[in-house]
Formats: sequence, C-alpha cells, structure tokens
Amino acid sequence: MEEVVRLGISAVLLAGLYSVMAYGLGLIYGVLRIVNLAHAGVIMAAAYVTWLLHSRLGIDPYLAIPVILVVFFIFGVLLYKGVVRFLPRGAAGGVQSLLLLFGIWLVMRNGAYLLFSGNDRAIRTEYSTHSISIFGTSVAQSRVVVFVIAVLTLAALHLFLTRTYTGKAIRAVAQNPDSGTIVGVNVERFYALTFGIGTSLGGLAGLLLATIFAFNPTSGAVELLKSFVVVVLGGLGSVVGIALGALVLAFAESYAILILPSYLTAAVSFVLLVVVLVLRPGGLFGQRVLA
Amino acid sequence: MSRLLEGEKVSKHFGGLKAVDAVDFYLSEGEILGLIGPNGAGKTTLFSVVAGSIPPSAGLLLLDGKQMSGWNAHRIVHAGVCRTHQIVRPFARLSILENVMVGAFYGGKRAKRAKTMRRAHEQGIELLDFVGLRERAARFPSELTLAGRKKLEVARALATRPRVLLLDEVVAGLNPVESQKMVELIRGVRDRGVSIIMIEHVMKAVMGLSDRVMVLDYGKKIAEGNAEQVAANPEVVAAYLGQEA
Amino acid sequence: MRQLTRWLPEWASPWAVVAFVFGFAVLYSLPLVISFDSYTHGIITQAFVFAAAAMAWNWLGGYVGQISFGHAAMFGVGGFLSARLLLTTSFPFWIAWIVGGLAAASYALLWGHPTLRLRGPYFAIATIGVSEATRLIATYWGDFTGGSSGISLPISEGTAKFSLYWYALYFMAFVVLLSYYLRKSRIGLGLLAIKEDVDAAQDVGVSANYYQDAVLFLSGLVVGVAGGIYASYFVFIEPGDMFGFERSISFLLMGVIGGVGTILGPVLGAFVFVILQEYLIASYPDLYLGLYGTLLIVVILFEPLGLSGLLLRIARLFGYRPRVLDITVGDTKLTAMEEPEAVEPPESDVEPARKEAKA
Repeated sequence: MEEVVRLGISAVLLAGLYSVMAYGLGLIYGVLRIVNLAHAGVIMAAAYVTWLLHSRLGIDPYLAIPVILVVFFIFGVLLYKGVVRFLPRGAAGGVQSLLLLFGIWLVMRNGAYLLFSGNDRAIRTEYSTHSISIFGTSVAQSRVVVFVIAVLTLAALHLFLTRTYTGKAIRAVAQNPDSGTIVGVNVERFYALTFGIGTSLGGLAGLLLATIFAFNPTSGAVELLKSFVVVVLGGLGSVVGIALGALVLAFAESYAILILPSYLTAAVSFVLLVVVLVLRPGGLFGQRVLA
Repeated sequence: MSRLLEGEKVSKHFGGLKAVDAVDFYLSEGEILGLIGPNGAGKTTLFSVVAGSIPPSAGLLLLDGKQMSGWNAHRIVHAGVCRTHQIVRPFARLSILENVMVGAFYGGKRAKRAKTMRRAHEQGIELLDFVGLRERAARFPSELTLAGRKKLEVARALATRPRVLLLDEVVAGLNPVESQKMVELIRGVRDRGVSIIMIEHVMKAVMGLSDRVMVLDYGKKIAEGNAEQVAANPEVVAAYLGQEA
Repeated sequence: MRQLTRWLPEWASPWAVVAFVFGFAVLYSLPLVISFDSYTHGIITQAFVFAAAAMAWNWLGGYVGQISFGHAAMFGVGGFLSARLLLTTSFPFWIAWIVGGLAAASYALLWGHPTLRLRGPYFAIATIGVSEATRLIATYWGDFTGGSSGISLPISEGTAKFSLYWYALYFMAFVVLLSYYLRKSRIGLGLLAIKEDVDAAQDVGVSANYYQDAVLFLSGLVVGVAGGIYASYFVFIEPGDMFGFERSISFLLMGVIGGVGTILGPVLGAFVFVILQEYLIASYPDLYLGLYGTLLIVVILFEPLGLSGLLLRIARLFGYRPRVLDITVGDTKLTAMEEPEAVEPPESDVEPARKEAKA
C-alpha cells in the first residue's frame, strides 16, 4: 500500500514535466500540422545548456529558466524562418517536414556527441539530495520543484491562450485547422511565434529533465514519444486536456513497475499509444487530434 | 419503380449535436432525389453516412432491401453507391485520366471492374468524353477550372459503375453557362441508368432536375414531395427565411 | 520487341525488361569474370541486400506515404530468427530466411495494422516507439538473441559464403520486379490514390486499409529476409546493431537519398550509402549521425526526389522530357509531358460559408 502511494505521488510529480514537454509538441502540431521531431533534440540540447551553465558558470538550473526560454524561443523562430517555412504543409507535405526535422534532430544529436561525448551527464546541486515528506513518503525535493515549475508554466500558458488575442488565435487554429486563414493576423509571424513558443517549452522541459535525470545525446527520443502519447491522449484543445493525458501516462508508467520487469517499462508508453489509437482515435479527452 | 436505396431512422450524432436525426428516405430506380435545406441542416453528413465515410449512430441503410449500414466506404462503393465531394478532392498528382482509372479499377462489383490497363484506359476515356474532358485526359486536375474539376469528380464516381450516385453540390459555384451544362450532364447520367441523390443550393437546378425533393432542417426531415409542393410548404419557407434573417 | 510485348504482363515495358535482363546478367557474371577480394565481395553483397531493404522501405514511405523510422525491428526479427534456425536446424539458407521474413512481416502487421488506419503522422511516430521497444526486448531476451554479446553463426569463409553473392542478387532482382509491379500495375494507381487522399480513395472503392496492410506485410517480409541474408553473410550479429536506431535510419536514408517514391531510386541510394559508409564513416566514425542528418536536410530542401531527381535534372539539361503517359484512343493521341512539380491544388472556389457541420 505504501508502495502504491509512493508511486502515485511520483506519477503526479512526473506528469507536470510530461505536460510541459507535450505541450510544446502539441502546440506546433496543432497550428502548423507539423510533427516537430527536432523536439527530441531541443529537449536534449536544453539539458546540456543547463548543465553547461551550471558546471561552467555556476548558474543554478532554476535561475537558468529565463535564459533557456529565451535561447530556445530564438532557436525555434530561426528554425522556422530558416527551413520549416519552405516546406509544404498538409497531407502531402507531412512527409517532407517529418524527414527534415528528423535530420535536424540527428545533427543536434551528433553535435552533442562531439561536444560532450556519449557519456551520461547529470546536474548535481547542493540540494540535489534533499528530500521532503508528502503523505508520509519521502520525495526528492527536485521533483517537487520541477512539478511546481511545470504547474506554474501551464497556468501561465493557460492564461496566455485564453486571455490574449494571439493566444486565442493560436487556440482557435489548433482546434480547427480548417479555419485556414486567421483574420487580422500576420500568418507567417504567427507561425514563427508558435514554433518559437513550442520550442521554448521543449527547452524548459529539457532543463527540468536535467535536474532530475541523467542524460546523454540520445536523450529526447523517449521524451518525444511520450510527448506524442500525451498529445494523443489529451487532444490539442486545452492545457487541462494535456495535463490529464500526462497524468494517465505517468500513472500507467509508474504502476507498470509493479507488474513488469523494469526494462519493459520503457515500452509502456508505446503500448499505451497503440491501445489509445485503436480504442479512441479521438483521444481520451477533448477533441480529435486529427480530422 | 422499385426502391433501390432506403434509409430508416438514419441518425448521426456528434456529441450532443444531432447532425442527422432519425431521417427516413428512399430512392427509386432511375429517380433523381433532390436534397435541400439551409446551411448546417445535415445534408452532407447524411451523404457521408450513406456513403460509409462515417458510421451512422443509429438507423438502417438498405440497398435493394439488403442491410448495408456500418459498412466501410469502399465496400459501399463496391455495392454500387458512390459519392462526390462538395469540395472537390481530385488526386492532385495523378493525371485526369488516371483519376478516373482509379474508379474503373476499384469500383463496383469485382467481376465488373477493369482488369487491364487497356480496359481502364478505354473506360476512362469514354467517361471523360461523356463529361466533356476527353481532350484534357493527359493533363492534371490542377489545370482545370472549378467546373472542370467538378466534372472530373463526376466522371471518377461514374467510373465505379454506381447504381446510386450521391452528388454533393456539383452545380454550386458555377457560372450560368457551366451550370446549364452540368444540369444536362446530370440528366445524361440518369439516362445511363444511374439513380441520383443530389444536394444542391442552386434552386433552379435542383427544382428543375429532381423528380422528388426532400428538405432537411436541423438534421430532421421537414418536407418531402415534388418541387411545387415543397416550395409551397410553410415549414420550408420558414426554415429558409429563418436562415436568411 | 513487339513479340516480347505480347508475352509480357501489361505493367512491364519491354525496354525495362531488356534493361533488367542485361543488368542481371552483368551482375551475375561479375564475380566469375573479375575475382573480387573478400572485402569488395562483402560490400557488393551488402549493397544488394540493402538495396532490397531500401526498396521495401520505399513501398511504405514512397508509394503509400507512410514514413517508417523503425524498419530495424523487422530487420532484427528476420535476422535473429534465421540465425537461430540455421544454428539449431539443418534447414537450407533460403528456408531460414523466408521463415525469418514471414515472422518479421507478421510482427510488422501486429503493430502496423492499428497504426496505419489512422491518418497523419501516427504511423511514423509509432515506428519510433516500436523499434525502441523491440530493441530493448531483444537486448534483454538473451536466450534468443545472445543479449549484448550477440550470436555467431557456424558459417565458414569459402564457397558457401561466396555463393551468398548470388543469393543476394536473386533476392534484389526479385524485389526490383516487385517494386515495378507495385508501381506500374493497377495496384500502383491505387496506392498513389491512397497517398494523395485516403478518404477520396476509399470513396471510389480502394480498400485503403487492406492495401496499406498488404504493403506493410510485403515490406516487412523483404526487410526480414534482408536481415536473414545479412546475418548469414556477416556470421556474427548482435541486437544493438540489428535492431538499432541507426539501422532504421539507414533504410530511410537510402530511400531518401535515392528518391522517395521512385522505383529504382532506393537501389541507387543503397549503393551510395554503402560506399559512404565504407569510405567516409569508417574514417570518421563520430560523424555519421550528423552526416545522415545533413544529407536528409540537404535532400529535402534542395531535391526532394534525391539522386533520381538530380539525374532527371541533368537529363533535362540534355533535352530529355519524361513522358508521363501516352494515351491513344481511336485516332486521338494525347501525351502528357512531365509531371508538374509539386502540384498545389488550386484554392476551392466554393465559399467556406457553404461548408456544413462535418466531423
């Protein structure tokens, strides 16, 4: 029973991180109809940048958040303006954008390998080993902080998407891609902005990830898959849907440890993906991901 | 006139929205049935359900008295019911002839499908000739005007050897000359022995062509009869006026 | 030539057949005329096997438009099953390969059937998960795969190994024929229709689910057999290599370099890939992923049809105009020259207000 509670708590804490990384992917997919495979590279790269800032300049990972957000926002905008913009969209163009962004991911991976070698890295701060007690179980403090940051980010995102004009436009397009042109919005700027926001969310996810787990240049692949699972589960409509999707995935993974050998838990997210696609192609919550 | 296609209490719900609500309808052999109604009345949804693009929430669909609700789109095409799309959907990177050949190869009963390239070519050319696109057979759909693409949509559907053709607004958006040609084309299709249900906003076309007209509003059938009866029906008038106001 | 035409199925053009027979004869007699050292021999055999796998990848990625990032899963299943069969039974090579291939194809169907039914990028993403999950399972299932230390096959250098060149050639030749058939026959037209617009294809009677499943099955079969031949030739296999992410990307890359959706492009891509791998990556082993990535980016941005597109461009400089199709009916002859590049369907003239509430 204690084990169940402990796993439950860790699942909830993990879900925060999952929501952040999934929202970045979902936002770009919703608006541009492009699956940003480079998302995996962004998560990985952000982890390394955070590590660099910490180990070389002594900047605390949590204080590095604004830096990461800005850097990866700019990276996203440049990526959009530099290459993605030139690709055809929609059904026929899907293949091309998929392959191109995949290529960018590979280059990023190789770059990280050359710069940092293939060894695992981890960020150790003086509070890394601190833990706090929730409902009688001891939880790593960093996980709680990550959760709080994730929730704050999602809340801010929710306000942005529901209160601001640009945010509303993003949501409208994500929910109904058929609406086509966005009245009164400079479409190209709008797309670049969306790509930037999505990428900076990926960057934030990478930073948060780096404070909890070890990482190497191949990191991000599993996170990409998990993000996609969350998007499929939660739909593209709302922050709440994504959060619910993340919870489902996190719980499934956490409790899988009770019944599966540990090396198989990595397959849980994938099995969940297939099961959900077959049973509820529209996602568990909210509207369909794809027409 | 025997009843070729029949629907009993056909319904389609999207969440709480009843897009099509317990609609009964039938189509007789050789008949043209007009389907009208204000925007959002559920006409295209009804087509999608009949063509198998989306499964019905409830109700029965019968072809020749045989149950076919819940079948996949391609199976319904094989049985002899084919639809066109309101917003035309040609295969953009296939030539016009190849577009039609797809229908010839894959539509209708297995025994009647084109087995060879030559046969599909011939059938394709014959149909393109029929709709007036023969000269453009080797070109691509993107090079056609809207009228041309609508004709291609009809030719491709006809290539599947349908007994029932579902035409979704093939006249709308055409200029008067093109409209007139399309109306003649639809008559020609009927003369080939194909029964037709057509959704149409252009009243002149639908009233002139249809043997019978059915009116949908908010997913429900509100009137049925010949053109004069329907036009005089107060509920229909109200539905359209409500729409305009 | 006319005599030949009458004997051939419709989808095979007589010139293609002549070219095929000629090419086959040359490749068949090559090792008899020139004596290869075992290194060259290995490279060419490998290229044949990879060419077949790349064409199989292209059936899904190019003909149907479903990109797979996970073909290594089938390559590994086919390879390990054949290896086990060769170790524990006295089956001839080819039976072990086919059994391995069939197992790989069934495995492909198992996860592909549900994911192929959905439109959009689901399939592509699912393949990343499949290949990752398969690799993990294979690595930990040491009894079957030998775990991270792999397994060795009892095949000695010499005539048996030498003969694999021809086996690989037969295999590639067969896959070339199948590639032609899948593109040029009526099935090819159906697949193109599915690639263009699944819904519209179903609405004219193409059973999209059936054809996509069938193509995936065939693709898995060929890649599985490729895995079997590869295992037989290289004698030692281990899960990290057979099931690895890099393996999946290699198939994708061969297809993309050669030309996605073309018939013979992947063969070209496979040969270029093998040469790159042997001469470039061997010298700079740290750079291969970046090189793969750069190649992908360059191809997609500048020549989406890869080497095939490049060759076509060069041919056009010399005045070559590809005929898309010739139609002669009665006394009218209609010829379409050159496919328009990346046709954008024109804007619909039907005003959006007319759109009804749809799904």
